[in-house]
Amino acid sequence: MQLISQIINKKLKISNDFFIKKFYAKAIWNFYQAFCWSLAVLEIDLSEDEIYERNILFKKIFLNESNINQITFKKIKKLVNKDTKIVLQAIKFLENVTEEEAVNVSGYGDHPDYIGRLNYETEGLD
Amino acid sequence: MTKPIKQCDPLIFTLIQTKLGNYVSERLSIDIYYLIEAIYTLINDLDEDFCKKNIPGYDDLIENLEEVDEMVGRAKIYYDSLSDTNKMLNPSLNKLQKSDQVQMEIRKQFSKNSARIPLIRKDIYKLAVSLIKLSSIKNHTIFKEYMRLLEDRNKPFDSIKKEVSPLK
Repeated sequence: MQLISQIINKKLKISNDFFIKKFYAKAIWNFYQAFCWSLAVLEIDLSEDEIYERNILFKKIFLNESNINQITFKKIKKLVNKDTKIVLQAIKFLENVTEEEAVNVSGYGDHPDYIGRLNYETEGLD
Repeated sequence: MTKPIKQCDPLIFTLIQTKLGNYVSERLSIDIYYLIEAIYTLINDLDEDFCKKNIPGYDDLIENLEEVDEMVGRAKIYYDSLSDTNKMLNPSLNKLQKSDQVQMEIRKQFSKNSARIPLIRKDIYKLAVSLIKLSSIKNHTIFKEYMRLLEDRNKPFDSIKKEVSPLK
């Protein structure tokens, strides 16, 4: 699951950059990409109303990026802060899964003492 | 019960990495376009029957993916033509954009079409996560060489956008 973890981290980083550069539509888009990955990883289902609320707010910001009003911005910022919890939860979950999987990836699960030895050296030792 | 994992061919693995690298590091264009491409490549690599067997509700997920793919495709056409005309009118990309009727029309169409792409479309990500879980690529990461390192150098669309403050 390292791949998904990397995607989420990278998307969050890009989103942060855009928030600093004041490209709000792009920042929100990238944050919600990370959020959607998190939802899929944690298998959480958002209600239709919650999805609709976010979609509509984003549409407003996207179409009027040069003139975002304060109320819309505050609303979406509140949602972003709320949704950050789920993203962080997903990152922690992925870290745990990656650690568990890392044990099996080496292929030396039963013989940790074989690590670092050449193939012919371990032949016939089983 | 653990799901079976299919070994990914190295060539296809590189292809998927390139696409995901574009998706992850894309800042100027429509990033989701590359994700959809990566998903289709993964499906073809894993084999459709294998996916159907191991992913619950696969047909519905594919239907949703196709729907979004159409929306994204439409927006991408206008984005590409917009960046092409921008480069023609403004080869150095340093000067400010000249007003051009054709370009304004393309921008309008781009905004109209890209605004239709929903912010949250969980089905695509659900499908992507399920596919990654079934493939051996899940334990790898995207190499730096597949990311767009020079992404900030050319700014076809950003150059015509103003920086704005929300506190107006």
